[in-house]
Amino acid sequence: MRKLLSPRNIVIALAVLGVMLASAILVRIPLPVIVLPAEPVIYLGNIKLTNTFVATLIADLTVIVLAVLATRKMRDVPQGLQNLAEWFVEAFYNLSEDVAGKANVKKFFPIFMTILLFLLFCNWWGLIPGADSIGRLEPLEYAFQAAGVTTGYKKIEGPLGVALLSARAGSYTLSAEEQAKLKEEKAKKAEKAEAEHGAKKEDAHHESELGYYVIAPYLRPAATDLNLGLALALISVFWTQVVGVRALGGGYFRKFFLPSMTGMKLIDLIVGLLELVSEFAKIISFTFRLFGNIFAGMVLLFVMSFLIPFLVPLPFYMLELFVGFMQAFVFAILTLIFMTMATVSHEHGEEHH
Amino acid sequence: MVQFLAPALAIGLGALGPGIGIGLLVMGAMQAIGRNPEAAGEIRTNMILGIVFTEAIAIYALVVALLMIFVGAPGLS
Repeated sequence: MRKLLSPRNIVIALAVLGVMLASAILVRIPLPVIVLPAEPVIYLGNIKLTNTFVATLIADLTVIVLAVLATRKMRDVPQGLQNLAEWFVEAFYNLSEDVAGKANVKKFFPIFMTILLFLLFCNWWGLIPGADSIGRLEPLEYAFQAAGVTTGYKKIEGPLGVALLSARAGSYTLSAEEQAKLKEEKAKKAEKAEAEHGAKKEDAHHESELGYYVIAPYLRPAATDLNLGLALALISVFWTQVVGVRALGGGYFRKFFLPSMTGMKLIDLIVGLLELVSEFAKIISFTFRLFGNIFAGMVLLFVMSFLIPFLVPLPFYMLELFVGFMQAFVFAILTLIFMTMATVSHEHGEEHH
Repeated sequence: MVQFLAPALAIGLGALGPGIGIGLLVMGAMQAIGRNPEAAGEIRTNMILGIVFTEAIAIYALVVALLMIFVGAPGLS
């Protein structure tokens, strides 16, 4: 204990605490814009690419490049990246063998591991500092019309000619009248675009009339877009049906219409309906579980670094690393479990239990 | 400020159930680990899986609250 409380350590602790408090008081960080829809960042003619889509592409590339690098020079005694990849894949192979059984694991493992790795990189790339805070400056008026943002910040010149947003330089919140006016403008613009029939042209939004801006980040955690979760959920549930039909043939669909476990027609009907509804409920729960967790994590990190920018957000980054892995894992393992369940014939299942 | 009452209630009430659920879950897991420390690893993995599923319900409430804040009901802004 004496060693821990040596004068040197106390000085260091006080210095850290001082910087923490000073940063909380002096450095005022603009609250990053919390927007539900993904912001378009790349314009290719009429096609708008959103920042979550760019993040998805990066995660895709990471998985592909890592797979190629790890398998380029295969050795009997694995080294380096190949070793790491083998350890990781083997650990999950054993786990999925426990869940799916020896007969099925070879068929189900590829989709399990693909979802796991893809989501893992999606979630972890979004945690790289700068992913949510480096981006294009958008005028407050435009941000309000596009996503309902009401507070903007002043732009200042940073080092190397980089434009920064500063909360110290001043922030501005749109008043109710201005909001109403902007809404009217937006409606007018939409009418005009409709009249010109598809000749939609994105105007360059570089200067703000009010002089206040928000950031549209170039990268954003991919799963904070509802579409990613929905797409993966649809793939997962659709493939579950395919797996079921492959294993049981047309008999797979019996569980939806005539389970005939009890011999009572009414109960059979209701049980079948419940099975049918549960397939769709799977899609919704997959989607919202992923989206909700990652979006909540993003907001949590925003708010923590907004309140105290130094040291305090660190444990929350650790938490988000864990959550990012856990959500990827849960998505993958649930897919695996549902597939395994789909291959089990209903009558057989009842006999065994 | 009144319009924030609805999302606050949504997440507040929605977190109640999962909170109790996670408490029960961890209680069971800890008792199991106490009785059978050799199985701690497996129990912990299953506990975390269970927590994630329970937590998902709170997350649904959170999504609803966020939707209310950021998207809002049509004609109610």
